[in-house]
Amino acid sequence: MKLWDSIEIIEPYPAIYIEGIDCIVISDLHLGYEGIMAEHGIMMPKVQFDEEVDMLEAILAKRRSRRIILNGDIKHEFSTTSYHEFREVADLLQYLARAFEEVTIIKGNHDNYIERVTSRHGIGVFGSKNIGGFLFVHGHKRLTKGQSADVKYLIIGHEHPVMALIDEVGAKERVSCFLYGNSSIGKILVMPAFSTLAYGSEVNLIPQKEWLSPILREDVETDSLSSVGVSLDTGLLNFGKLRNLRQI
Amino acid sequence: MAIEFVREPFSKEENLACLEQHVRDWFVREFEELTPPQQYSFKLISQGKNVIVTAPTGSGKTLAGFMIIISELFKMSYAGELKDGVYCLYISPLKALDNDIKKNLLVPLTQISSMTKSVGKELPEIRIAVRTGDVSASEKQKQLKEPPHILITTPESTAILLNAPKFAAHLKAIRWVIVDEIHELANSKRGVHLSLSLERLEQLVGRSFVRIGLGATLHPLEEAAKFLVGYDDSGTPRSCSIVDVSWSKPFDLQVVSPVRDIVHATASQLNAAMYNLLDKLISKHRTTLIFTNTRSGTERIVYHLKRRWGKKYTDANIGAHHGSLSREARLDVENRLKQGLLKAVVCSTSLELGIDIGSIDLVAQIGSPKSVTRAVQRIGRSGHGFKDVAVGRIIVLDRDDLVECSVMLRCAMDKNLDRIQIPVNCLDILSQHLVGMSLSSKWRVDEALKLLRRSFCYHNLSKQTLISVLHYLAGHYSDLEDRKVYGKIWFDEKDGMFGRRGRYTRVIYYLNIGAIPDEVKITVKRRSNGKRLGNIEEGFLERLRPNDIFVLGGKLYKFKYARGMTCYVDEAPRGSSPTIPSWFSELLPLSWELASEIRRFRSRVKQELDKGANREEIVAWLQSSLPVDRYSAISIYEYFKEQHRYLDGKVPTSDVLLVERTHDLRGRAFLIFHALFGRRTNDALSRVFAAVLSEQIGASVAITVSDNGFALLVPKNANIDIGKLVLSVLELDLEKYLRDNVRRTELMKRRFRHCASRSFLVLRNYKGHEIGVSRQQTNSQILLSVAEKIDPHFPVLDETYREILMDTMDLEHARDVVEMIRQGNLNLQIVETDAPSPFAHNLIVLGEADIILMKDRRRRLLQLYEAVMRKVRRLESCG
Repeated sequence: MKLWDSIEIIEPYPAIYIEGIDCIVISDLHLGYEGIMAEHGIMMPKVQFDEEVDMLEAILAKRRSRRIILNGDIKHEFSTTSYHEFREVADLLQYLARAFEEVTIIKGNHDNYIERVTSRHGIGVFGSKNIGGFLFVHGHKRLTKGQSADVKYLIIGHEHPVMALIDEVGAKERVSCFLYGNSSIGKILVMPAFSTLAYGSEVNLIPQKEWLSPILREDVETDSLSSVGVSLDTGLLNFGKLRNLRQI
Repeated sequence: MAIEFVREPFSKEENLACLEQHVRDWFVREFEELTPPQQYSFKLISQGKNVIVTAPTGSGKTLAGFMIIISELFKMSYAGELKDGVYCLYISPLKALDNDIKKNLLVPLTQISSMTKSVGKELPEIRIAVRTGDVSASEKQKQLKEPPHILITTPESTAILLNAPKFAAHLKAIRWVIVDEIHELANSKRGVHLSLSLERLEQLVGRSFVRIGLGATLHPLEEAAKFLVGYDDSGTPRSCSIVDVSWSKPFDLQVVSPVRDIVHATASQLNAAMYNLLDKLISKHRTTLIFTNTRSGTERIVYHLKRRWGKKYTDANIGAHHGSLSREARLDVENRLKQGLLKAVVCSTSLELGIDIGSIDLVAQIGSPKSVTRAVQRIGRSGHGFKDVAVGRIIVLDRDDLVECSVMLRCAMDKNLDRIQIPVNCLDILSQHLVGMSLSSKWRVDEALKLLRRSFCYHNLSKQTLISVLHYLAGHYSDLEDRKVYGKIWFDEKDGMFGRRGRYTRVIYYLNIGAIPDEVKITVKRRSNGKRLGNIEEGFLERLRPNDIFVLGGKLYKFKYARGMTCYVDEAPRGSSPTIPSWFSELLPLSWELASEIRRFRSRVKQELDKGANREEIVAWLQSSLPVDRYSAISIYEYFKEQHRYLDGKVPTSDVLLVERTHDLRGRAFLIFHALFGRRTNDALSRVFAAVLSEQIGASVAITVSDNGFALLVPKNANIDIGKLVLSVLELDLEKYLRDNVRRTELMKRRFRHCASRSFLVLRNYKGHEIGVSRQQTNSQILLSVAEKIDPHFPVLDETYREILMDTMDLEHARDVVEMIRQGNLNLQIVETDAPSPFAHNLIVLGEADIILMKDRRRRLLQLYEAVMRKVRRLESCG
């Protein structure tokens, strides 16, 4: 499925390909999540890294590209990088460095000190990057004046949008989704989380002021955004505008 | 040498002869005669026999257990043989009880000591102390230097003491272990935990010790005895004498209805009448103990009594008692009770256990206590001395309770108790103890297995299961580097050995031990102004759907959405009613045995109605065969008559499975199964029927379950063939099918979290931090999927299934029901009604609900997607 004729969703994965600048984009990997949970007493054995690599392999089997952009929250922790994340991030970057000519990381709010890992692999880390009118920024802060210039498409992560579906008898399912539409800065695309563990915002249920990203709270009319669900079970599910979904 | 009942008491002389002289003198001076339990226990314990004694309140159980021990300690003291060490360990589930026991034992200890002094003997003191989580560090130091000869503690502290590096040595002197309130411990995981502690203790002591169990009535006593004493290595139960004097107090029981016609009374009429009835009862007695089952009920009753009769009932003479009150508040009520200053005490369930709390001469129960045994235990709290009559009145507020309690008290009068169910092979408790065992030494797997199998609860533990738990604890599910974090033991399968590992393991063990799971509290805030309204449990939040209406603190609220640990609500519009029951902690289930009795009763009543017996005849018969007052008898008649009339004589009886197809006032379509088997069995049955139906009609099905039946909520125009549904159920492997379907329920997520906590997979307290915030980011759904990806038989997962299928639900009896249908002992009868029949009302309104998700996730998602888009299109076309 193509958005605005220029962005292609690599079905049925939470990933996009932009032909105009030849790059694949994914966001919010949250590697090392289990390690941090363990430090907090939740001894969950690790599964996320393998799952994410499996998905990347499948994505690459569908679509080749010269470059990949990781749009923030590659890792999970807030403070000094701990051993677990260190290794997982390093392993992932190694894998990506082999599969792509160029790897770019946009810094997310969880990515403090990530340069310690990226510097070993010659990977660039940026607060934001504008490539041919496509502005990549994590979404945890509003844009500066400088960043807002020459933006045709604004691509963010951070929100982890999820659709909560409830039926007649009360059964509930959650589906990760893309959100896209217009903003005061340009066309906007909100990426779903690549991570299988990190929780998300139930965007069809919670009011705009409760959303995580200040860009979405202040610079967008969230009701006008459209939603496309991604599920490995069903493929893409086109939901249409949030405005309609909120009323039911 | 076996488990045997001792039916004949010993003579007074024989019993007293077992006591040391001064102890005997003291006893004879204080008491005119021995109470029923004492008439057996003195002799038996002096012979070194294991004993389990069941007796009602006020029958001198404490001394029945302790007297010989005190006597032996004095003997040792004279002979200069009293060393530094713990000789007697007393374990009860309540910290409060521990303190009371100490106070009570100090009386004979100090009095006998002063008696011996007066005859010129100066003896080394017999020390007694309490050891629980509340005890200060300085007190613990003191106990280490001067170990108490009698140590009073809780199950959790026992497990901790086993691993206290220095203190554990003092335990080697143990000769007697007393387990109190055994009826309460035996049917829960706390009891399972204790049973392993006792076996580890015996291993530590290096020889067997006398085990004494004390409790209120329970059944079957042989099981409880085996639970207390365990097995020897040849697989035979160790010996135990059973003394059952729990019926020595005469009972005066009755079910009372506050109004003449419970069926047609309005809620406010019923309420007002109930208070008038309470007032009457309280006025006629010295002190009344009132059980309400819920904390909010307790508060309400006390509040309204004071409000309606402000001069009569004040804070000075009535009190509330429940778990949410502060310790001081509870102690205050308990003390005033003991001093006879209170006219009435209202509690949820909190005063069910514990030592004599003074002169209660009436126990009133509001609503059903759900089992014959519990009714007897609670009513047995009345009557101070063992010769007093135990007076109990159950006040019923709805018609199902009325029928249930009437049959229940009839069973109580017939001494027809329901069975206790002791959980077995609990892998989470096992995990805790394996870690504890590894902390003290290295173990051979075979030696460990031998020890574990001595416990009644692990008697059938397979070596394979033990090994898989060891793998889990050793972190073998993670790769090598991560085992530093996840491994709490090391385990070498080839050598067959395991031992401790990890710097923090000892701390983890100490701070996270226990069987009581934490519930995560969700804050409830008003959406408009963010005002905090109260708390609900995480499990309850998982069930809430947008616009569900529930009760909190006596008010109605509408759920809008949740964010992390907070949920946002609006006030519910005037006149709404709750769409989801708000008490979430498990209500007691109706026992299988009592359910069978009530089914039989239904058959009898139907018989009378079919015969054409008139109102007066039936009411008279009811009053003569059940302990009910006239109003109750009339209401029972009316209830059955209505059902009989509504369904043209089709009252569900013991040989009929009545299935009713109907709609509720909101137009929702239901299939109601009048299956009076108790909630645990119905929990299993309903899920099976719902899952099969879901597959047959290709849609999700919601279920509501109660003790009296279950209802399936189905899409309005679904094409359902009930006969086919039942036939399909008959062909299933019930356990396999149920396991598969339980997986997709809300219950699974919640129980998984509890088992995860107990198995040290999710810790309450780690590196000194109380865990809270992280839970925001991980929900049970995710934890669960991760565990499954690791291994479908991940021990924590297996234990979750076991707990759900065996302890929460009743798979065994569900199988029995299916078999009854197959054999033709239970015949299917189908009716269609426009509105639910009388027997079905409570089920639809009050039953506990869950959703059975359609099996195929893909189809389920697509269906949900379709449903959502249909609504969207409809909205768009409306402009």
